[in-house]
Amino acid sequence: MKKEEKNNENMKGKERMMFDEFLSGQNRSIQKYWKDMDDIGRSTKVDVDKAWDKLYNRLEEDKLLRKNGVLFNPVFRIAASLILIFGLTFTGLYIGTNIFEKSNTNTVTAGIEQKNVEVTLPDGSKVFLNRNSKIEYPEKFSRQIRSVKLQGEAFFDIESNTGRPFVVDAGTANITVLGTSFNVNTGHNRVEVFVTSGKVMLSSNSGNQSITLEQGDVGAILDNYASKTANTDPNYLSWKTEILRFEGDSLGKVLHDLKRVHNINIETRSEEINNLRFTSVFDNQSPDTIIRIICTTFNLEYYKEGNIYFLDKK
Amino acid sequence: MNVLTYGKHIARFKRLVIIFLVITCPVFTHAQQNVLDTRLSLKLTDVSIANVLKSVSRKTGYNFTYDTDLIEPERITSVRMDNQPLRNILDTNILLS
Repeated sequence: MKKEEKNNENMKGKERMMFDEFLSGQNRSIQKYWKDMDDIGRSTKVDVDKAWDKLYNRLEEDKLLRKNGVLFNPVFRIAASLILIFGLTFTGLYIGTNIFEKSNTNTVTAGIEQKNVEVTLPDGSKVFLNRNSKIEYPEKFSRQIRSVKLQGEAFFDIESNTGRPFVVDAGTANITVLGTSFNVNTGHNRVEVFVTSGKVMLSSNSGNQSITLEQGDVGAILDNYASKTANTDPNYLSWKTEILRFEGDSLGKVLHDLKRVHNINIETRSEEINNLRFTSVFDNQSPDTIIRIICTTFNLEYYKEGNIYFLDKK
Repeated sequence: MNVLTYGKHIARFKRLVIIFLVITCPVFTHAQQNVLDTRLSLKLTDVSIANVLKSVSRKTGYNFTYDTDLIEPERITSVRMDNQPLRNILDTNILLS
């Protein structure tokens, strides 16, 4: 330890010697510069208080300062601080709640094998998702609007609240209601709405196309163009109800509905089969049973390969 | 759910099949001939065959499935049956016309 200290002292002494030598030697100009730097540092030491006093005095002389103004009233000062504190607090809370609401989005997805997935929204409204569909909704609706986002197909049963419209963002179109039930189907740039009760407003995303739909109406938005027809298909909601009604419908239509409701593939071996006319009511029967019944009715036979049914004449 | 079939050859290669889908009435689910023996009364004047079958469906809980081109559902008929078996109603009004 002692040895090291000694070494250090020696080093310091050595360094100082070298430094003095450097300053006193041939480098007189540097030594002068050094000294000047030191002087500048000392002379620029600013007395801030003195400067302020000077400024106030000058302002007073020029009558620019009103010492008895409202700004110097202590009551005003306290009031101003309080307003500022409250203002900031409420602004903070407001922004905070908005961020809170946005960040807490619930997403429910129905996969390819699931359908009729029931979702209860924060206001008690019910949504039934078809397969391959997705809905996004906030954990808590805002006070002004009840807003959800849909991909795929869903049936909405919306609680009535005239002060707080319910809006479905369906991609290329928006659906606005106050309290009704309706089906929304999105896909291929087309948004289709079928109203089962109440009134619905369907508008294109750009907002320049808008139609009002009533019970039994089917409205569609395709390429920013709105259209409206009356629904004639008793099986429009069969994906949800599982009830299929056919009254003299062509087998082509029957098979189309079966594909849509039960997610199965059906191929017919001849066009003749598609033109057969069929009458029946199915209530929750399995696809196998339905195909079997169709074959018995028309004296057809079927075989199944994977997920595909092939229908042929016997 | 029971599926019961009732068939009849009405022409050389045509076979009319009516399928009963028994859904609402568990009483009628024992045997095939029992369905056709189900007795009911039906009094309808100038109604289509389709509506006759709908009335039977409402009374019995059986749904009918058929080849629309063989039944002629738009054909107008009148039915006056008092506590008759279902077989008689179908035979006289729908199959043998």
